[in-house]
Amino acid sequence: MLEHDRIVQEIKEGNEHSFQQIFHAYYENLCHYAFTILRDMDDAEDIVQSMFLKIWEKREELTITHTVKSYLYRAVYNQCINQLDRRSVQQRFQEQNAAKTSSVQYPEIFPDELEARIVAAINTLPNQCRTIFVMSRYQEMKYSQIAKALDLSVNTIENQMSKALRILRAHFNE
Amino acid sequence: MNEIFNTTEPIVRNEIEVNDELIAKYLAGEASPEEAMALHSWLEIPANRQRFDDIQHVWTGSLPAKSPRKINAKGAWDTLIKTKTSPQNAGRYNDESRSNLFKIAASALLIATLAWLVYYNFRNDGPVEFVAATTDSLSQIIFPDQSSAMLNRGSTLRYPANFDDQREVHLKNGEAFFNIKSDARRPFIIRTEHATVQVLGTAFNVKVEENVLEVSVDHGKVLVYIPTDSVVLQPGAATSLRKGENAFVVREANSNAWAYATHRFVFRDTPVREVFQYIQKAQNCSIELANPDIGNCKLSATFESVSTDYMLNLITEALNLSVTKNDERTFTVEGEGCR
Repeated sequence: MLEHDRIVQEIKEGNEHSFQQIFHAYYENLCHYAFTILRDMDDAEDIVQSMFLKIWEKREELTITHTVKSYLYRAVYNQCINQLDRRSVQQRFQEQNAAKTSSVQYPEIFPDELEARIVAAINTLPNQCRTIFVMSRYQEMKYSQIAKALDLSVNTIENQMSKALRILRAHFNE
Repeated sequence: MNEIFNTTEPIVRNEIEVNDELIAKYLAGEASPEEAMALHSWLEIPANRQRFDDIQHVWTGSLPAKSPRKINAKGAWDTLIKTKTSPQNAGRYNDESRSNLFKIAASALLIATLAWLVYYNFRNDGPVEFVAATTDSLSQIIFPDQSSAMLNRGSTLRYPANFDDQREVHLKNGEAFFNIKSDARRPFIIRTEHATVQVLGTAFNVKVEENVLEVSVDHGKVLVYIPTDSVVLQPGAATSLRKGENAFVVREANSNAWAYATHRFVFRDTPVREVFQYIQKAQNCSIELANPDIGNCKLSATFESVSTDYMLNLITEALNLSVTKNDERTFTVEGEGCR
């Protein structure tokens, strides 16, 4: 805890070296975490970079009550969720504007470029398991949305997702 | 710009167990910050890293186009240093992001205000729902997101006055041809008493009868599911589900089945008996055959947005038959027919 207090104090005083230490210790993991939520590495890196930049610019106001690490993970998570909300607002906006002019697009349940081998592997999953996997992976639905759509518990979704990956793993390794 | 300093930090518990469920949850973007931290600490042990990599390999492999590219921490640090050490750049960065944020906030506010007005005006006893019911004419329905449905005769469709978080309608009975606007974040869901049909953006036909559901796809792809089974229909595919069955069977779709909505008929060596069935259904008329052999003749033709009279005249002429119009909706076809 003392070490942690020291680093926060040093950053507040403008010590670039301490800031760099924190950056390099967490940058990659934070980007990877943001990527899992946003599914886009450019957006993920943007969010993590601008978060670090904000910390530096507002370093004097920095108050961290627990650890730097949990502060960073929580901040990235919040920013990602905001970004998802923003995406859906923008999408609805574009949808309204595009309604009259542009031609309709047809996104697919399985992306077109997906190899037949992968589609075949997914089709070997037990029915419920497959439905859940397709909804999460290709339709980018949240666990809570899937649970609601299928009238199942979130717990079941968690189990089925891990089961799907276990079965697919056997196929992919063939 | 202050939001990251309002971050609340729950106390981290280190008792989060890392197992396959948690790994799957993390990969699917469902892990809480605490879970992500627990996983990342756990990954520092090489044997764990191997287990994680194996599972991640499957997740990535199931959608290679969306593989994460390499993260360039050094490049990111260099950019950050440049931005933060140059006062000019730092200023520009701030102004730009502030004005972008402002724009986003302004449009979000506008949308929130509109949404609230609608909500305020209509919401007295729960969300407002419309019911569209047809008897002997078709009805074109435009949904709040500009998706549409052509409701066939004798059908009932319930849908909400607005689609907030989800796009969901209920086809109580009958048949409709849907044309759905794409929205990756809000799949379009059609509930029926037999099964649920889910799509992102596409055109397809759904028919609900007392004992059977039929779904056929014109273009795009459609997911149909019940708790025990699901099927992804490709363009040109159809499935039906009888009451009590718990699995789907896929067959070829016939686009003439939804000609009532598109007014387009395509026949390829189709027996006239079948041709007339499709025309009767789509045009809501009745065609009598004076001689059953007429039904055996085969026809290849495409009709697009033409009247029933015109179609029957062309068909009978091509097959050396004759047609008489008895009244507005009844026709009799005569002639020698085929063996």
